[in-house]
Amino acid sequence: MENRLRVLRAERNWSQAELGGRLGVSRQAVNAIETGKHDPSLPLAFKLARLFERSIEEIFDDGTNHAG
Amino acid sequence: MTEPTMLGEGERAERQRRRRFWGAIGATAVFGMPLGFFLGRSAGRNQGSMAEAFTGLPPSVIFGLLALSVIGFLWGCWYFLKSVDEVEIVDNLWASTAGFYLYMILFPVWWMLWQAKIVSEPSDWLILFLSLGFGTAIYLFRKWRVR
Repeated sequence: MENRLRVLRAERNWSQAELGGRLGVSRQAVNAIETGKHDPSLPLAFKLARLFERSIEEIFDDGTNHAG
Repeated sequence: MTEPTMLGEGERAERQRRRRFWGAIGATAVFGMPLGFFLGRSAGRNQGSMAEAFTGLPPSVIFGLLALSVIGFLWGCWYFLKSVDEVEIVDNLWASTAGFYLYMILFPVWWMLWQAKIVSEPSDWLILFLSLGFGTAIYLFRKWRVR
């Protein structure tokens, strides 16, 4: 699943470890999500949305956001 | 030791989480080492065979040692699951499922071939190690691919 995590993280000048610490996950987990190799669970997606003050749809794109 | 001031709040939290995780691994190793040492020494006294490691020990000691191992292992599993994130859990689920499936397929197939007198009797140890090895390979592959 595509996402804007890297951009949002860069806007705040956070490292992957910094974001991981704020989310309670490892740096490797942040990397896996950013590169689309792991789709986060719903609780983690909500945590991300709250942290970046965006909706989940603004962060993640499952390919159907612009369909209709 | 003081924390470097350049670290953000998240990086400090991540560092603590990592420290807790490796601390638990270290504690488990320290916990398991005396038992391993004891068994190794005992086996050495009994012609170097691990199968003979318990020879001469009273059943209460054997039971105590095994209970200690099982409790330590369960504590390690619980702490591991508590400390790791969802990516690590997914990796572990993939690895254990792969190992379990290999076991479920390999054992009955081998057993049926043995019943048909085509191959020798299934080796429990070989099947166990192959299952563990396959699970570990899947785990490492996911680690390498994902990270």
